[in-house]
Amino acid sequence: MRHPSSLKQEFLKKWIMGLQRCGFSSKKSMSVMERKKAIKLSADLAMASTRNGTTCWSRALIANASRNHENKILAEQILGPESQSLKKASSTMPPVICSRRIRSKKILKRSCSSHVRRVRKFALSQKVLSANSVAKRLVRKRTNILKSLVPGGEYMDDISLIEETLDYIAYLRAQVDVMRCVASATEVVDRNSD
Amino acid sequence: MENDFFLNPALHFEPPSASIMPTWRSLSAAMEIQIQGTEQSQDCFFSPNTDQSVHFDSALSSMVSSPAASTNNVSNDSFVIRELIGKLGNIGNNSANNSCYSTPLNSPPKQLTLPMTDHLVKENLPSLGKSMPLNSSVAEFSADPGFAERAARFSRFGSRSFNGRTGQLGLNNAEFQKKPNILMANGNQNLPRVSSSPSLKANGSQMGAQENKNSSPLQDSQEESTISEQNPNGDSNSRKRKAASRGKKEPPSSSPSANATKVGEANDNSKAKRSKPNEDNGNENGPVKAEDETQKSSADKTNAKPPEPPKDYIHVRARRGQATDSHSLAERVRREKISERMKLLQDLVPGCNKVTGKALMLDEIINYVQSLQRQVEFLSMKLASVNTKMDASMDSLFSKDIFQSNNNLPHPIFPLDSSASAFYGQQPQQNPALHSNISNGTVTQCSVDPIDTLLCQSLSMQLLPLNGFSESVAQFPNFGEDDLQTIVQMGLGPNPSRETALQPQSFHGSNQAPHMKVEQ
Repeated sequence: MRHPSSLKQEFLKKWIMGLQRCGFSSKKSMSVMERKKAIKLSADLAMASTRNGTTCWSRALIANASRNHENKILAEQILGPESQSLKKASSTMPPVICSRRIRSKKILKRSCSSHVRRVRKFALSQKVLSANSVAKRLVRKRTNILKSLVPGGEYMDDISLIEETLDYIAYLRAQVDVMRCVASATEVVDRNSD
Repeated sequence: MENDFFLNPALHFEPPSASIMPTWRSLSAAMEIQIQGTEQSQDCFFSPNTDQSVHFDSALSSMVSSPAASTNNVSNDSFVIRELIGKLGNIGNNSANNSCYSTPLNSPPKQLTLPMTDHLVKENLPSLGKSMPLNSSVAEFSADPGFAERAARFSRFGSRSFNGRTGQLGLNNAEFQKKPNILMANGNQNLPRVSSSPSLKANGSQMGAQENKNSSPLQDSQEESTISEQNPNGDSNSRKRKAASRGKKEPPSSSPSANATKVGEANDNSKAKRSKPNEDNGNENGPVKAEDETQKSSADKTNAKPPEPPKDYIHVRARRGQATDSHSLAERVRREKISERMKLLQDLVPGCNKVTGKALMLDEIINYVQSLQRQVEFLSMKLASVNTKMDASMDSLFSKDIFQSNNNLPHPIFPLDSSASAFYGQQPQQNPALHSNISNGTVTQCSVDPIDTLLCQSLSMQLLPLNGFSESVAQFPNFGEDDLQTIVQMGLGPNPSRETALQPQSFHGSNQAPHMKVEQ
């Protein structure tokens, strides 16, 4: 149960900690892209860790970050030692479990839909493009797009997908707000320094 | 150079957020009544505001006036509210379950007299008795802290009447917590419980709402002849209610009469119980039924029968030509859940309330998520670009300094209040964060303005390890002498050329020059 401003506070805290941990103050000068990646990654992980693995997208985010080899070390650095439990939670591979479930669902669907298709063809042979089916197709397409957008979305069914989207939108908003404030603060600092 | 490039786009980003906020607020004002159902259990964490009832009333009146204008029937509160309930649908379902499963609300109850919440919540409770799977899944959903976070987000976007609603529901919580048990046991028994509520009229409308809710999920299975053959185990309560209602509603038609008598006998008690509280609701039943039908006709393809004259009972429109097996029922449940969630999403995504239909709303949601993600990318790139200078030693020194300097900062800050607070007024939320983060509990009792400047300076200081803009810190003379010296020394390290010009000012600690710079 989080008030949005407390959410932002927590996010900012963890973000700065993560940035510090990933060696931002180190001597080596990173390129802009590297820096950007580090910033984004630490922000993502900070937000995901605030959820403490309660939401699927946060787990998927951490899992993706850890899986990616180039990010892995950075991610582990950022997450730090106290996040071992978090990493464990995300690495229990809900995707694997979910994909199994998805596969079985698909098989079931296929077996059902073949029968339904036969029946439907028989009944609605004239109305090939019934409004209902068109609408369903559209919705299906968009759901797939949304699944690709939300991290870990491919493994969720429709209902939980929408819940996760809600959460994810809230997180993105908080992240954008915080980053914008930080950016404007640096702007001011920049302007004053010129 | 690149900073300039980034400055301009940043300006573009500012207005959207500014414009989005009012949109959200107006959205939320319109959607308050929808939201309120979902927010009931999570609102205990917000302190009640006095203007909420005003907002809530205004929103409610605006929503109420439109349906009232469209009907020529007697416009009593309960009728209009029932229409609203019907229109809003199952939105409060989750909230009702939340209120049942979560702890009672902590906020003190407010004296809002709207029966709206009453209806909304009570109408959702019958749905609990419908199907156990629905209960369990909704229970999971209610237990999801992310949902509470979402709820918190909703409130942030200006729907300020949450607390008012919370207050109202605080009164009703005790009732609600008893309800699910009763409902799950036997839906029929729920009715006498309802009739014991304070106002009979409210009872009637609640009954109407309840009946609507009871029957609405079941209207897909309405071949009359199949009623008696249906599975008595799973949805016996709902079936009985449905059959009883249909039996009552169609005495003129001959075909269901046999069924009606057959099933009606089985449901005699329920009918009797129902008819008792409903005797004074004859007029309301008709419009309720009509409203229910109009509500369902969009969902149903086959809603053939015209409205019947009102009886002393809430009529439920039966659906014809729909399968009655468990698959389609589960389908319906799933569909309703999805529509509920979509309604929640409507509140989060700006501009989504005008859109109806899943595909369009999904479109909006996708666009919004994509735009947010792009914003994050852009902002992270921007932040990365300002990090042109790095200082290795700064990090540790700064973290130490920040802890020290915070104690000194409040005092010299006051002169800077007026100018800086305007600048940093946009970052009120971060201030407590930084303060708590930095000072680790040594939070001083400053007013808001000093905190703004204090924390934004601290923010800048914290950014300095990342940015390497040590010279900018030197501009702020509000640090203690020792801190300032250390900062300047550090700044001297990597950037001697830029530091020297600013040092005299910083050392003198005069506020004037930096004042003016900040005021730019």
